[in-house]
Amino acid sequence: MSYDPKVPGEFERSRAYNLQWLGLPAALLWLGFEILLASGLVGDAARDFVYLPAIFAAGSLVWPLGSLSDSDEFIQRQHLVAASWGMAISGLIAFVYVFPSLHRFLPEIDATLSFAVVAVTFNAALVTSRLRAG
Amino acid sequence: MNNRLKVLRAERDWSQAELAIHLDVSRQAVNAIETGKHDPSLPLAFRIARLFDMPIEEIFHDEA
Repeated sequence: MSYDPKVPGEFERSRAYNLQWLGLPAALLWLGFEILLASGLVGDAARDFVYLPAIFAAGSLVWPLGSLSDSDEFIQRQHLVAASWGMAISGLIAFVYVFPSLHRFLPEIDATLSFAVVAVTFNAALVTSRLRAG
Repeated sequence: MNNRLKVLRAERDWSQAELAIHLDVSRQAVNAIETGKHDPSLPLAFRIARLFDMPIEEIFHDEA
C-alpha cells in the first residue's frame, strides 16, 4: 500500500476516538445550562460560560459526517448507533412541534434546548456503544 | 464469532497498535475484534487473512 500523507494513521484515529469521549460531558453541561436558562435560574448573560462546551457538543454531531471516509468500520458502526438514537429523538421532538395539540401536554421546547437534548442523546448512545465494545 | 487474532498477534510480538497500523484501523478496533465485541467486515477479514497469510476460516470460527 503506497503512503498517502492525507490518510489518517492509527495515532490520528486513536486520538480522534479518545477526543470524542469529551462529547458527553460537554453535551451534559450544555443541556444543564439550557435547563437552568429555561427555568429562569440564570440569565442569558451566563451563556458565555457554556459557550465552549456547547460548541464542542454541537461539533460532535457534525464529526461523524466529516470522518466518514477517515474512520474505520468499528468507529463508523458506533457512530451509526449514536446517530440512530440522535435521529430518533429528533423525530420525537419534531412530532411535538408538528402537532400543536401535543403542546398542551408538554412544556414549550426551545430550539437550542432541543439541540442540546439531541447532543446528549447522541453522545450517551456513543458512550454506551463504546462501553459495550470494551 | 471467535477468532485467533490475539494469538497470531502475540506470535509476532506485535502490540495492538502495531497490528492496527498493519490493518489500517484504530487500536480500539483491533481490541474489539480480539475480544469478540466486533465482527470485522469481509474486506477487513480478508486484509487480516492476507496479513497473516492464512485462510479466513483458520482465523475466524463461527460459534454455531
